[in-house]
Amino acid sequence: MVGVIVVDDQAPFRRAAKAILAATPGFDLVAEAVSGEHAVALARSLKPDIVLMDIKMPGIGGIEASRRITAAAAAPLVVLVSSYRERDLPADARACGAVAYVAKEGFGRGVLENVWTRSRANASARQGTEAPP
Amino acid sequence: MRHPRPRWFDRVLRHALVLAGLVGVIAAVQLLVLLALGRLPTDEERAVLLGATIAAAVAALLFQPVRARLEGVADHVLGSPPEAPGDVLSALGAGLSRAVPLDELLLDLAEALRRSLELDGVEVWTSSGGRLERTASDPARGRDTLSLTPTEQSVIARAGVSGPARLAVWLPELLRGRDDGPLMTAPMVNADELLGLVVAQRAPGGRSFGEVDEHVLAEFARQVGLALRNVRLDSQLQASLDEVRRQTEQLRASRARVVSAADAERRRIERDLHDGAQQQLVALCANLRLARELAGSQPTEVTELLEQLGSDIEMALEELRELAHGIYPPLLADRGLAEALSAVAARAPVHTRLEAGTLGRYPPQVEATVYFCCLEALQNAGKHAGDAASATVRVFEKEGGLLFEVADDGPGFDPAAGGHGGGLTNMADRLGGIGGSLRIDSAPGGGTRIAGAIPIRR
Repeated sequence: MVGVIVVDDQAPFRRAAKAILAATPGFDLVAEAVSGEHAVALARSLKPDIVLMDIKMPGIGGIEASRRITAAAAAPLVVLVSSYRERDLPADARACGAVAYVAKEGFGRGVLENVWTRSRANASARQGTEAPP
Repeated sequence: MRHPRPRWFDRVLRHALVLAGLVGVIAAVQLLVLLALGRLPTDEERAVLLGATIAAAVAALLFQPVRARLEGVADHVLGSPPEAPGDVLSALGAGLSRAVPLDELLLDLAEALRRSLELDGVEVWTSSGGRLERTASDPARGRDTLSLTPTEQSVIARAGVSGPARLAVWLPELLRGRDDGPLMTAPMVNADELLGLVVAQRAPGGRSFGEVDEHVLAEFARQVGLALRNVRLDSQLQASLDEVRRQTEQLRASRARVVSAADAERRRIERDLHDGAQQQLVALCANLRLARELAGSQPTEVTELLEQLGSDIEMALEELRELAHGIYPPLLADRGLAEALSAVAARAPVHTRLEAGTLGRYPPQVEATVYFCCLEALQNAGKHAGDAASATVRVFEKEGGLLFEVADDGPGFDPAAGGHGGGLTNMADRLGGIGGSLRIDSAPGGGTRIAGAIPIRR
């Protein structure tokens, strides 16, 4: 099972994400977090595979939390989610270590599966080139 | 018809006449010497006489310039002679342009007048608000004041230079305690208004006042009066300038607060929209996609999901309504103040009675201002007055203005103590922005009454 943490200070998206994860075979919601700080701590202790990270939250916010989470060894994939349009995102959203940005309304089973299979494919391709034949 | 002679011609003629006169005088003296001698002078005597004649001529020609030089030296050694009245007043002009304090200047002038007219005492009294005050005196007599009725003021203003007889009738207080030396006063007047009084006095047995004294005194009073008037205009102008400056500063500060309050309000609306309805809609979108994906395979789950979505939509709608209402209440726009305020009173945090009678409709900014001020005042009452308190909202028209007041019977506060949040400042700024004003009456233990007035044009 692919372990997922959902991070958002607003309940509606957490509820939607929970429903979507429950209906997506192979994925499992391991925890919910309501702040960046909370997410950093959970990522460290629960070692999830994917973190769905809202950008605008009180405290350090989603960008800084992503930076801290992806700086660790064997870090999970971070997917930024937001209800802002892409052009309203802060400039550092692209350089915080997240693998993708998804508008909240566009989030669904397809997104999860896509992100996971592509990152797996890339990872095995990297392993393939690195390992001696 | 006579043609006027050119100036240079006059000057040459005058020199010629003076020279001829001097020559004549010298010749006459020589003639007298000859007559006294009784004979023609001998050769020896003739030489002496010629020398004397030349010496006399030289002395006559040098007399004028040497005299001026010698007087200068004497002035330097013995001190200046008394100033002529004209000099007194030219000192006034110089003093005013150098911005010397008025009292000091008046004292200098009093002293100059005293020396010029050989007086024993000069006093300058200035008038303000029905009182005469001794502002300057030489020799110093200290400050003193006299009250004057408007009638007395106007009689004295018109009296011109007056002696003791007239003063005994109109200004007996001025004479009280004085010796009976010669005394004369001159009013300082501008456009029939009494600006002050100059008092000139000599010691008992001193020279009585003559026509020249009177003339000088009157001219002195006239000039000092002009100066006083200018000084007063100056200080009035300065006061109005200060007032204008103060109001401008207040206006600038209030405008800055209005702008930042508007910005804060927009930020609040953006946040409310983003955190509220937008989040609901975003979640709905994601859930709808899920429902579509599940539709073929898991109909039971989809039905449950759709029911959930239905109630989510209702929640989102309610949040949007609430937000729109906060931006501008629809009832206020449609029906005006009385109905909108009665809805406010019905769900106010304290028990509220509304007295709005038969209010008409007003420009939107007037209605919105009264509405939001009353709303804010009631919210304050809810926060501070306690659950047991009750409030009354009154809105009415009076004397070309729309007035409102929100009174509660809570514990009250000290309005002078400050620190009661931005609510009252917001109200004052909002009202100030449309020419209105706010009044806060409250005291610890005495309830709170917040009243506003807005001018309206019909």
